[in-house]
Amino acid sequence: MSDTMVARWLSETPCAQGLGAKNFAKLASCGWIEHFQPGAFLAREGQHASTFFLIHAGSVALELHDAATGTALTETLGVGDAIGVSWLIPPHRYHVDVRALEPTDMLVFDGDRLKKLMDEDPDFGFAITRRLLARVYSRLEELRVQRLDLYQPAEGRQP
Amino acid sequence: MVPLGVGDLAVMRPDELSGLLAAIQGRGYTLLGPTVRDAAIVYGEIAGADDLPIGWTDEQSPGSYRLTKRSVGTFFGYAVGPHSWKATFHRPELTLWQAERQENGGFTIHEPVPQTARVALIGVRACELAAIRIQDRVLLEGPFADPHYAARRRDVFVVAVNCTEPGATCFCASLGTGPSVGSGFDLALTEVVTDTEHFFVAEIGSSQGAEVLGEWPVDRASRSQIAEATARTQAAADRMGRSVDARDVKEVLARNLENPRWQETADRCLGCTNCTQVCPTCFCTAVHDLTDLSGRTATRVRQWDSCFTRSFSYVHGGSVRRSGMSRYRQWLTHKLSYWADEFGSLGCVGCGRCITWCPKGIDLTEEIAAIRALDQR
Amino acid sequence: MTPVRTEPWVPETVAIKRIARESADTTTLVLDTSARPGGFAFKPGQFNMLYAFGIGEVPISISGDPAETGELVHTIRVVGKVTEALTGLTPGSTLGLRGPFGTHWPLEKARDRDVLIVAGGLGLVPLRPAIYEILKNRSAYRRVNIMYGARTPHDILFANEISEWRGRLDVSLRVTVDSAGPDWFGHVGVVTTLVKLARFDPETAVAMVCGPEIMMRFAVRELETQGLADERIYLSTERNLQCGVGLCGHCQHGNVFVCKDGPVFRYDRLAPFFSKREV
Repeated sequence: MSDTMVARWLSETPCAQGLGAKNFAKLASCGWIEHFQPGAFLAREGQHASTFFLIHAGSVALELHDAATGTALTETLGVGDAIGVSWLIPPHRYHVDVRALEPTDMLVFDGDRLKKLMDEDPDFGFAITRRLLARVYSRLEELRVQRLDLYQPAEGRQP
Repeated sequence: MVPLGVGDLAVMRPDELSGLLAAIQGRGYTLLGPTVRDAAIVYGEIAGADDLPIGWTDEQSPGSYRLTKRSVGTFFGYAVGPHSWKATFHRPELTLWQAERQENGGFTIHEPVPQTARVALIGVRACELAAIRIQDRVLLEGPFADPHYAARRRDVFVVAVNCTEPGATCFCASLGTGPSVGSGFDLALTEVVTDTEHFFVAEIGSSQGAEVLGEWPVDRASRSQIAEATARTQAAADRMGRSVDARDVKEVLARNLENPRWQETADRCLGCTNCTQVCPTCFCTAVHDLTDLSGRTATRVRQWDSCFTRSFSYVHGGSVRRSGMSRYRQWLTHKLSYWADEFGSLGCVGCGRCITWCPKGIDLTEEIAAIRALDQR
Repeated sequence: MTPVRTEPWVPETVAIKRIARESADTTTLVLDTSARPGGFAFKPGQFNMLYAFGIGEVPISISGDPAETGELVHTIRVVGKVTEALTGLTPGSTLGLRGPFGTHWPLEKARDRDVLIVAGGLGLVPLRPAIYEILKNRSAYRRVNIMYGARTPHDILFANEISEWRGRLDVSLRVTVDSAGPDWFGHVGVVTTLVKLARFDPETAVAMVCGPEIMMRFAVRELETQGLADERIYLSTERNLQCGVGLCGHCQHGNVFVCKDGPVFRYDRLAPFFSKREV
């Protein structure tokens, strides 16, 4: 029951598009479903990172807390978005806090198992890596624009 | 004798030129023509033919202009100088309006009545007629017309001159704007000097031109006189100092915004704005808001501006064109590419002023050839 | 064809009726145009030149409802001495006005189609008249998506109206900010990330985009990625607008004059030089 639900939710994500039946099954085999209440933390900065998330419903905020200035929301992510590459890349620690903004349904993947499958099957590994890279790349592009602080009057902006 | 009409060619002796100018003056026109001042041939009010640069010619090259005396007393034996007729119609400085503070804290605006001037332009070259036509399209024929320009353009008598002495920086023949005038004149003169004779062939371009010329008996030009005149303008076309390959220059410049040549030229360009000031088609203006010391009267003044200044492209925060490279590129690309999209013709008439009056001698014709050579297709 | 106007240089005087503070640096002036013959008619996307006595004149988009011709609404951010003087005026004072000038949003073309409105920062100002018109004739359009990006939650313009639009079932409105504190429950990220959340038919939808130039370039790329053709993407651009009527030359951008050929352009008109530096 749960497995078919995972497969159904996964098939709706952009991440699964064009993956092929074999790779899809492998990815699905690492996943399960979790539900988060608003305010619940999915991940904490500094914690060991061993999971990968795909948002099925709801939204989350990526936050950084500073003792002097308080908590800053750096980015929000919503339906279809992927969260986290720290499970794949050393030192396997989260760099931000991830907090649910509303009731959020999540596909959660076991990063350690996923990594093992990717190592064993380079074709699967490449397919997953390429999808992650595409997502990381578009987030990087978005952040580039965001950090320009474009809506400030031009005089107050850094060139 | 059958009276002369539009399209007819008459012949005039040099001593009849005074009478012609007097006849034009007699119709209430102020004469504006070439005259020698400050070691250059400039345009200004003239009293008659004696004020013309008789016997003078000019030697022009990139960054250089010199007057010299000729052995013969020609009236129009030179090319164009630093002035163009645009200053007559499109004033370098103009008060657009004044505002007065009122007792209740508001203000009222008074606009001056656009000034008309009944002027006769003497010695207008083909490139200048082309330039006037171009400015007409920009300032009169868009969705909005400039009322000041319109008023000054309204009542003008044009005595054109076909060029027989092209300057070394001239290239009108390659742009099809000269050296002989096609239309847009009341009278067009060709000055002919042979070993034994000095005369003008006068083409009648309007009924008003015919009337002026009809005030005293003039003869029709003979076939040989016409041939002499035609040969001289043809020779001028053949002897033109420079040329531009204008065929697809619009497309070439539009696709070469990142051509490395721009930077090379910008390294030489001083950004002095001379080229835009002497250009007969450059029309850009800036407005300045001034107040008197009491703060009760505010005036808006319009002045010629130049795309070579940083402030020209200012939007809050800074200038769009910060580099000298981008400003030179804007000027040339506007003249020879974007202008055609905006106004239906190139914005250059081949008068060569920008080449002669550039203190670094930057040569538009050479720049276009260099960009073509590195064409980034 | 537009009739030739002869007095484009001279402003008329108009009195301020009301003033409203929108954010720390942005103010709305409501001008009284009821005594003007026919009121003040304009099309969404057009701008006026506003003059502060003795200080100078600046181009300002019209931000009000085109149906309300008895008043003229301008929302102004302080970026220099003229905008400072204009926003420092009080109700009853007089300013100079020339306009309306420029092209307008393609509201006719957008009829019977899905509409995407993408605004960044002050870019919402010239789009607000278009939103008014669309909402007033809501049945003439299909799905209406409004996407708005602001700097922080405090910089969100027209906050009351935005909540009102958000409450409508026939409009999909999304707001995002570049940065926020934990009291913000909305979206954080650039406005272009909202495009992929919008529901529209990429084969026919019309997009109207206004904001800083970099934001518009990214928005165009995102819209193209979602399948929108360049001929259905419209941008409102900014250059040095001085005369407003195509006579002074300052607002040239490539082969267009922003004042008379724009400020609203179909993107394919700008595409050859829009990403080129310092054009």
